[in-house]
Amino acid sequence: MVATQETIDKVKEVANTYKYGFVTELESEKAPLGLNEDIVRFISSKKNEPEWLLEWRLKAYRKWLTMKEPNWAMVNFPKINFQDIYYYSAPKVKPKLNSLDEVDPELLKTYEKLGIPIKEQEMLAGVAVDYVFDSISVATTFRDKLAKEGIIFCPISEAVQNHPDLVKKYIGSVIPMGDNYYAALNSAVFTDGSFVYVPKGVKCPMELSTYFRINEQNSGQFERTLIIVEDNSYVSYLEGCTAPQRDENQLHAAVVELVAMNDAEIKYSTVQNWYPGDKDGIGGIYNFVTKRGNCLGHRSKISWTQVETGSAITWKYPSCILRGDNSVGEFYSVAVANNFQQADTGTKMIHIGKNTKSTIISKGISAGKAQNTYRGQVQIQKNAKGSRNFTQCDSLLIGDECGAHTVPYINQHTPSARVEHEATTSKISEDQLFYCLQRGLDTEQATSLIVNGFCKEVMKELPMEFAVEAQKLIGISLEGSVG
Amino acid sequence: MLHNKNEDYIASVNNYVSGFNDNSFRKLAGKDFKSWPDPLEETWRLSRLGTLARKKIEPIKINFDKSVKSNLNTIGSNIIKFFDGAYREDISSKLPIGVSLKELNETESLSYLSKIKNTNLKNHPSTNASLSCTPSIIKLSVDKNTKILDLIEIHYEGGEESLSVHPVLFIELNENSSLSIIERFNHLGSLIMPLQLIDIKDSASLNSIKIFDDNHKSYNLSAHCVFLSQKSVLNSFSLVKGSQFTRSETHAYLNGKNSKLNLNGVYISGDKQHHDLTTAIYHNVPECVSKQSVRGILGGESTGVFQGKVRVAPNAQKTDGQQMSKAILISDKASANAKPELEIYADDVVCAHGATVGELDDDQLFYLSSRGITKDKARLMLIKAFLKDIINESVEEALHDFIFKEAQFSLSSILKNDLVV
Repeated sequence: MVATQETIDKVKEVANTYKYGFVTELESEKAPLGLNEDIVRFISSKKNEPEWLLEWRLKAYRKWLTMKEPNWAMVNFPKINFQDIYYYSAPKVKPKLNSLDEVDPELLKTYEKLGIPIKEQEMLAGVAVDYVFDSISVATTFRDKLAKEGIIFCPISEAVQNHPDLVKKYIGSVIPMGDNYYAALNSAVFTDGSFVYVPKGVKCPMELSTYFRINEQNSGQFERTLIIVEDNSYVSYLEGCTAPQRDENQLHAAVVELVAMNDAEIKYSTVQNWYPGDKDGIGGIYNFVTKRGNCLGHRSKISWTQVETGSAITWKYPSCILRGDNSVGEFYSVAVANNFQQADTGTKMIHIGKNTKSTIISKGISAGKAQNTYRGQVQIQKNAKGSRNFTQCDSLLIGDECGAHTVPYINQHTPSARVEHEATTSKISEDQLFYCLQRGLDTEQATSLIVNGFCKEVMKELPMEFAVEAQKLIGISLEGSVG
Repeated sequence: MLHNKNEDYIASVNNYVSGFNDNSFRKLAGKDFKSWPDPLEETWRLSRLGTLARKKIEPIKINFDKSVKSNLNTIGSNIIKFFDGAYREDISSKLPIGVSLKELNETESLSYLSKIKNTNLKNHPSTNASLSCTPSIIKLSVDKNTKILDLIEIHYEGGEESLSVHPVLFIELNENSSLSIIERFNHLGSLIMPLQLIDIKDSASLNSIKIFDDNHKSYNLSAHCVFLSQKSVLNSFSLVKGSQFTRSETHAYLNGKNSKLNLNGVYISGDKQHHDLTTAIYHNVPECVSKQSVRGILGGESTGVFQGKVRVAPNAQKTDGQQMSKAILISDKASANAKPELEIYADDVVCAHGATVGELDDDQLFYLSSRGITKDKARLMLIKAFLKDIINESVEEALHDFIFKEAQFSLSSILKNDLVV
C-alpha cells in the first residue's frame, strides 16, 4: 500500500500518454506482407529449421485455413485482415552474440527507457532475462549459471537447433496445432519465444524472465513458449510485456505450453501491459493467447498468475490439464479494463486424475466504457475421484458505463468430487471511499488503494519484483476513471 | 438420409400451417421454424436435441368429440384441464369470480406472437412450433383489485406416441390482483411443447408451481416468458422429474421498479433422464430484486443442467440479483452441469451467484452415524432435508406436504437402484 504515492507520481509523469509509447528505429528484415505457404516456408528457412518442423508448420497452416474465428467471447472488434500483416520481421541479424556489448545499442536504449537496464539486472542476482525483440531473441543472460545446473533456457529457435529431440517431443503436445483458430495460426508462423527445460531434481536457482516487446508497425507477434520440468524439479517463470504506441491494431497470438512431470512445479507469472488504445478506443493490441499447462506427472503443480492491464482486446484462458493423480492447478488473475478495453479472460481446469485439486481466484475491474468478462470452465471427468475445485470470481465496477460479466461452466461427472463456485459483483463502497478521503487521500489515490486491496489475494502470489510493478500498473491503468 | 430425417418434424409443422392465411399468426410463427437449435449454439450446448430431431413425430390433431379421462387427482375444486394440448371445458370446473378464461381471437393471437417475438424466446422451438400448431391460445386473467384465495389447478394430459402437443397459455394478472396456481404436466406424448406468456401488472402477485411429470419416453420443451411491472411479484417453483428429456426455459423481464422475482426449482433425475432448468432474468429498471435457488439430485446415468443468466441493464441501479445452484450426485454415472452467468452493465448493484456440485457432506454423515443411524438411512435423511429445505422456502405452507410427496415419489424410485453405500 506504500506504493500509492509512487503510483500517483507515475500517473502524473504519464499524464495522458502511454508511458511506453515510443518506437525504436532498427533496421529490420521483413517477409512480404500477407500469409501463404511460401511465407511459412520463408519463416522456416530464415530460422534454418529442420524439415519436420516445416512440415508441422505447413500442416498447421492448412488446418488454419479450414478453421473459423471463434465468436463466443464477449468482445467486438472489426474483422482482422490476416493478409495485411507482416508475419516475419527480425532485427538486423548478427551472426553470434557473445556478450551484451554486441547487442544493438539502440535496443539497449529501449530497455533503459522501459526502466529495465540490462546491466543492472545482470547484477541483480536472481533474474535472467531472455529478451524477445520483435520476434527474435537477441540476448540471453545468466545462461552460464543455469547451464551449470543443467537447465536449458534459450530462444525456442535455438532449442530447435540444439535440442531438436526435446522440442519435437513436446511442441504441440499440450496445445495441438489445430486446437483453436489462433493456436493454429501461431503454429504455422511462430517466430520465436522461450524454451525452458529443467532436468530431474533441480530447483531452478533464479526466476526466469522474458520481456516481450512489440515493435515494427504491422508485425503480428507470434511467440511460442515451451517449458518442460522433469521429476522433482521447480521453475518460476516471469513474463512481462510492454509495447510502443501505435494507431493501428496489432495482433498478438502467442502459444504457451507447460509440461510438469512427477512432483514437478511450474509457476508462471504474467504482467501484461500492452498498449490498450487511447482513451477514445483508437488503436491498441489484440491479445489472443492460448496458454495451457499439462500436469502430466503425479503430484505435479502448475500455477498461473496474471495481471492483465493492457491490450485493447484480451482473449486469454490459461488452463491446466490435471492428468496426474494428486496434481494441483491454480489460477490467480487480476484483469483491469478501462476506457474502451475489452477483456474476456479466465481459465479451464480439466480434472482427469484422482484427487486432483484446483483453485481459481479471479478479480475483474472495469472502468470507463470497458467490458470485462470472466469465462471459466471446471470439468471433473469420470475417473477424477476425490477431486476438488474452488472458484471465486469477484468483479468491481467503477463508473456506470462499464460492464462486468461472469460466465462459469461447471461439468461434473463423478459424485465423489466437489466443485464450488462463488461470484460477486459490486462497486467500491461509499464507506471505504469516505474512510480514505477523510484521512486526506484524494479520490484517485483512494480508488487505487481500495482496488489494490481488492486484488491482494492475487498480488501476493506474484514474485516480489513483479508485485511492485503490477501494483503501479493497476494505478496507472485506472487513471482518469474517477473524479 | 440423416439430414432429411432431421427436417421431418419441421416439414410436418410447415405442412400443418400451409392451409392458413399468410398473415395469420400460425403462418408467421411457422415461417420462423426452420431448424432445431444447433448444438453449437451456446444455450443448447448442454441439452442437445439431435435424438429428438431424428424421431418421426408430427403435430397432434385434436378431436374434441373424443371423451377423455383424467388420471390426476385434484387438490381443490378449481380445475382447468388441457387434453392433447387443447383446453377442455367439459372436464374443467367453474372458476372463482374475478378469474376468467377465454380463447384469443386472431388479432389477439397476433399481438401475443409479437410480444413473444420481442423477447429472447423468439427462436425457441416451442415458440414457433406451438404457435403454429396450438388448438388455440388460452387466456387466463384475473380482474383488477381481486385477490383470489383459492388455488387454481391446471392439468395438462393426453398426447400419443409420435405426436406433439402444444398447449399455449397467456396468464394476465391485472393491477393489484393476486393468484396462486399449480400446473401439472402429465402427458403420454412424444413431444410436449408448452408455451406461456405471463404478464403481471402493477402491484399484482402470482404464486406459481409447476410439476413436470410427463411419461419417461417423452421430450418436454417448455418456454415461459414473464413480464413484471412495478411492485409486482412472482414466486415460481418448478419440480422437474418426468420425461426422458425436460428443458424448462424461463425468461423474466423485470420492467417495473421494485418488482420482485423468486425463481426456484428442483430436479430429480434417474435412469437416462436429462433435466435442464434454464433461466434468464433481465433487470431492465432500477431497484428490483431477483432470487434464484435451484437444487438437483442425480442418480442412474442422468444428467442435470442449470443455466441461469442475470442481466443488469445500464440504468438498472440498486439491483439485487442472487443465484444459487446445488447439485448432489448419488450415482457414479450421473453428471451435473451448471452455468450461472452474470452480465452486468450498471455499477451500483449487488449481484452474486454460487454453485456447488458434489456428494453428501461427510461431516454430516459422520454426525448421524455416530448417533447410531445406518449409513443408508443417514443418506436418505440428508437428501430429504436437502429437498425439504428448498420446498419449504419456495411454496406456500398448505402445499408443503403435497409437493414433498411428489418429490419423494421420484426420489424413492431413483434411490432404489442408486443409493451408494
